Amino acid sequence: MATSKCSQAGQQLWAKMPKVGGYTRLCFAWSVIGFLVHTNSSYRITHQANAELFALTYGSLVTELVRDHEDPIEVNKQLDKIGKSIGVRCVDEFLAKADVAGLGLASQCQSLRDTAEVVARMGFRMFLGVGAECGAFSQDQKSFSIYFHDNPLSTFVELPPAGDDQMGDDLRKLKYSNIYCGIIRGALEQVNLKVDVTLVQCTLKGDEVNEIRVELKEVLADGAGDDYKEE
Amino acid sequence: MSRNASNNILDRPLGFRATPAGRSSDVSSVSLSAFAYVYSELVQYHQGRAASISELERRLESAGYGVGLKVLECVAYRGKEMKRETRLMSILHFVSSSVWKSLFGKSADSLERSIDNQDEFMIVDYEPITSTFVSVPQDLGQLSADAYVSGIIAGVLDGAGFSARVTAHNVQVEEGENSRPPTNATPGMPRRTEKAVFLVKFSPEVLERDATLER
Amino acid sequence: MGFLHLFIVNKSGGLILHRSLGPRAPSIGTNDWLRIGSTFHSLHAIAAEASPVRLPKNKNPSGADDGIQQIEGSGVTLKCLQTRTGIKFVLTAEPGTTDIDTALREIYVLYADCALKDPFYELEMPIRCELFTSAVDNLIERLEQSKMSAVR
Repeated sequence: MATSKCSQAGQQLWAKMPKVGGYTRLCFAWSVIGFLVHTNSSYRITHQANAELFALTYGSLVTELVRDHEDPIEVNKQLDKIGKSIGVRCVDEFLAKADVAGLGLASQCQSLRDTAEVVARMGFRMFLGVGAECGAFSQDQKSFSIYFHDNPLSTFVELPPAGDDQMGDDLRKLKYSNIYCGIIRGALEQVNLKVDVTLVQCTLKGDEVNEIRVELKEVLADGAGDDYKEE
Repeated sequence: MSRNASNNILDRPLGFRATPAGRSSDVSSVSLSAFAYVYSELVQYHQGRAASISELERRLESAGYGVGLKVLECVAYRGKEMKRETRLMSILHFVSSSVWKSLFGKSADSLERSIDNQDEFMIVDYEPITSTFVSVPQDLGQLSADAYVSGIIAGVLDGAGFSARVTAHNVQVEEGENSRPPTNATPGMPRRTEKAVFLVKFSPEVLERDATLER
Repeated sequence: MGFLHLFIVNKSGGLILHRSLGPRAPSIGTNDWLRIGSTFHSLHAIAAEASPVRLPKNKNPSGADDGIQQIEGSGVTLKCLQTRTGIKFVLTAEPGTTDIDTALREIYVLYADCALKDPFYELEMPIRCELFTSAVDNLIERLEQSKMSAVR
């Protein structure tokens, strides 16, 4: 399967990363910036909420969806939709606060690669307090993966195991953290990048890592995306 | 694919995220923003399915109720004393201090007994996180965005064997009543003009039982 | 010296908020405001097109398309912050007022906090969040005060 190859490549890349000089420094810089944004008071995303309350609140939303829609495929769709609604809103907070913090994202997001770095290293750190990496760029530089180990949404969650016959069979199709896909899709659409996002690996399904695949479909007209067209 | 041992929920310490062995992580917090977005979607989802303001509140309460049951298990399990509260006042203290601290990082601002009704108690919070960024529009009138928290309280109390009806109310803060500096909101946000009062009304049998224990 | 008006225009040119910020702000009717909003939106787009150096990297500092950043008159200064997501925050003030840029950036943060996280606010629609308007008033008051103390 193509996706699993990509993810393997991603993991290898990740494993090798510390050995590469210039790139390491870049990665390190991004991590530091992300960490500062998350913790430093002058960067103003200081206020925290309890991670368990967060996980349980998301859980109550998912259970409500499962109750209302029954079909897990439909629930996945709804989660994606809800995520999009969050994405189109949170991107403004991200831009506004990065701007006040003097990070000047405009000059940094010149290519999809930069955008990937910003989403993975800053976005995840800033909102969720977890580190994420990006990698597995495709040949044409139009798709990449985001990898992260800690998933704050699934703290208390276990999906029904395979072979469980009381409706568990059904719920295995549930992509519990599918909201991430919508969030990334919504957020990037607001800055004129139309992307397809899928959750390809999930620790809840027994995978080693969570992997989100992002694929650039088109750069929407409206001027702001001119940079990308040129490449 | 085989299930990674450290990723199995039963093999992990309670409330810790699945992480590969050897990686430690700060599991205790996410940004308030992240919570606010998810909560906002929860409210919007229920609002789309509720026909009236009171139904919306009831839906939020029932969403919180399930959370409350789980929170009770977690907090009681982690408590140093590992004991079960059996008295009315001690369970209320448990809610307004232990539960509050574990969920919101601080104790509730006050716990009061109603003067008029013996079976009613009030837990007051000046800055409940569920309504940090919420402005209730005029056409929704008395809606309290903190109904979710009242559901959590009801869940905790019910799970502990103190069945009660808990409702959330917005009450105007009097001039000079709360002198502490605001802690929860982004700098630059105005001081809150309303506090949340969670009215706890215990069932008659709970009061009876407590009266029996009194002797 | 002082702030006069704030108005916010969404990405399709609709006015989503207008607010007078001081006693010296001229009073303008709601219909006129709607007209001002959409006119400014169009002028902004024309300005971007008319720019003699229209290069692909022709961006304002926040990464949005270039356009009007500032208009100076003898009685009024207007400054506009267009965000990467296409919203325009516009402040008018008396000439010589400092901190307009700071105010614009702070207002963007407040918008992200008080409007976008409010479950009852619909994107692209007029902002009716009390929290946002009182936060803006607070901010302007704070800026004016710090200016006063700086003068003394």
